[in-house]
Amino acid sequence: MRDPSQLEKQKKTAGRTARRARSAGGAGGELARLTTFLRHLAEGKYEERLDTDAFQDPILRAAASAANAAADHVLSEAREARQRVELVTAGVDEAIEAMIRLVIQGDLSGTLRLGVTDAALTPLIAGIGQVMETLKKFVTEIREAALQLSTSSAEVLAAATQNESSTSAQASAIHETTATMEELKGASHQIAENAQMVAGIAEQTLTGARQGEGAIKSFMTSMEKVRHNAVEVDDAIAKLSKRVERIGTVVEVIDEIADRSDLLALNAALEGAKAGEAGRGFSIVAAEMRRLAENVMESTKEIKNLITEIREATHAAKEASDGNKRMAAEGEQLGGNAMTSVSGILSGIQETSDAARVIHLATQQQRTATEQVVQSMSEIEEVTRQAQTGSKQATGAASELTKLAERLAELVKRFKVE
Amino acid sequence: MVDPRGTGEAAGAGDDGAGRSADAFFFCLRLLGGRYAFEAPLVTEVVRLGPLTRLPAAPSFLPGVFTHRGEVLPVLDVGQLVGQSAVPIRASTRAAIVQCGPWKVAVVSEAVEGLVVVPRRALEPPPAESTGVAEFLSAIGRDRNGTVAILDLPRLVETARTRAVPAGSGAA
Amino acid sequence: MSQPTAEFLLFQVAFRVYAAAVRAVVRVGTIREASAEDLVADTILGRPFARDRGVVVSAERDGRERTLVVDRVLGVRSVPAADVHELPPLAAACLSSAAIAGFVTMDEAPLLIVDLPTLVRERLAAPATAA
Repeated sequence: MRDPSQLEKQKKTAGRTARRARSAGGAGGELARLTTFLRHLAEGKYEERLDTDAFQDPILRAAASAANAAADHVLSEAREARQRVELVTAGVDEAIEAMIRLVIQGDLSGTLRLGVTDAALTPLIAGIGQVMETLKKFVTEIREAALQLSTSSAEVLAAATQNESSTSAQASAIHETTATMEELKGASHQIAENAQMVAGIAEQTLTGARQGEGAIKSFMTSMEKVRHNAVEVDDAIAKLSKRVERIGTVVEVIDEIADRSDLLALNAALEGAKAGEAGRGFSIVAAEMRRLAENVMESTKEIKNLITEIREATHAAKEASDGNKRMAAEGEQLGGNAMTSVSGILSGIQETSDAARVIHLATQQQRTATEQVVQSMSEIEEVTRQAQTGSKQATGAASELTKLAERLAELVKRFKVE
Repeated sequence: MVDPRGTGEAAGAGDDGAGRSADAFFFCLRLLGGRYAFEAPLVTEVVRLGPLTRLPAAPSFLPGVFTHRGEVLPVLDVGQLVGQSAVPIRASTRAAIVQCGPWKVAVVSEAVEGLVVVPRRALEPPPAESTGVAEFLSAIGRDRNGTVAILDLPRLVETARTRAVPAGSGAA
Repeated sequence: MSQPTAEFLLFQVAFRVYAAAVRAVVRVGTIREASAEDLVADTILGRPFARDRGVVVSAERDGRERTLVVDRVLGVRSVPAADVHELPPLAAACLSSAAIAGFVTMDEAPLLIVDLPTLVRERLAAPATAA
């Protein structure tokens, strides 16, 4: 094909010629034919030829013949170009087919072999070769990555599956625990209520028992007082008795002496009486002595009577006080027994009350704790659920991933790179 | 049986032809819920008993002795003798001083009725039972006031004595 | 002084005062002075309360002394013989003891005269009963 600049020149020339032709007249008509022919040529119409014989003007004949020659040239050049294009096109088609073949067959191992050898195709082939190399590289990388991915995704899947099952288990365990905790919460609520009731009853009983305790205590205090009084009385009696005994001792000594004297006098009188007349004087003396002794004995008798009276009185007092003491002791005993019973009841109640309170508190605490636990469990459950969901998703994703990886692996498996 | 040769005579209506008066005189005491009497001549006096000196080792029918006009007399409780209740001795208790045989006794009773007159023909033999007081009855008499049991006092006393002292012990 | 008199030792057993002829009394003492086997306490006179005084008598033929336990010895009294009486025969006949010898009227009241040796003898001869 002719150089486009040449064509341009021809155009311009044709143009100028055309203009001259117009200007030249007759010769101008030939010029016009020439110009039109050149114009057609410029327009790409290469089939027309000028009849050179028709030209009178030798210049114009020359021009026409040149034009014809140009046209022939252009035409043959166009024919050449056309042939070349067809060649290149065929080469490119081949290349493309080869590439398609590559893609379809996945064989990147060889190099591109083309039947067409055209220097113009060399960059193209080089370019294609580069592309193939790059493609090879990519494919290799992808294959590796795909393998890795497959492995990893399998791992992930396994893990995710495990996780899923464990989280599932955990979730169900947690769910169970939560359920139990809920039950526990309910039960502990019940217990708390019952404990509340028990505590209430215990409180009442405690109050009553405390009152009873108070009464018993005051009873025992009065018993204690009685006993104290009795002890004081005893002391007073003891003191009195001692004094009386002391007097008694003295009196007894006197008595003894008087008694002896009395005996003496008696026997003297007896002897005197036995002696009859002879003992008369003796008897008189004896009688006197007797009288004296009797006087003494009279006095001591009075004192002894008094002592006896005092003894009796103190004895009576002691009896009374002993009675009181016994009664007080009995009372204290009874009070003690009652106290023990009441204390037993109290401690029992106290225990019950405490226990109830403890239960109450404990259940309250437990409730709080339970609630907390339930709360925590709920949270855990939530998290677990999320985890579960997450792991399901993860599993799903992993599964998807795995599938994709498999597919990719499948895909790249087709490419031979060695 | 009533001894017609009784120790005392009483003035009375008529004679039974055997030298005895038609009426029998008895001294009646209230004893053991009934009327008992003994031969009036036996009774020397009726006295108020006064302080009694009890004797140790004495039988129950002999509650003691008492002094009357300087004389110490034993007191006989007939009720005790026949085994029934004792006469409670009070300040007002009456005793009849009776001479029966060798013994002079003061017989205590619940009450003293005094002299009763029973016609001899009204005397009946005592009941056949020989137990209790009936053992010592000599007759049963009747007067205006009812039945009178006639006690054979000497026999009574003698029996008392023998019963009191078991053979072979103690007193003379 | 020419009036015949009788001398009695007056003693008390339980609630009663008795009289005993002085000639029968050896001595008046305390029961502590006598040995237990020589004490005579339970007689027809009753049981003494005090058990302090002992009236010593000679009761047995062998002359062995016995002590009658009495409550009190009141003293020796001399009474006119006229105030001494025998027991009424019936009473004497009815008593189961020979130890009551009679009466002595003293201060308007009769006191029983006790034959101490007989009393003691009777007691010793009596079968042992729950004393």
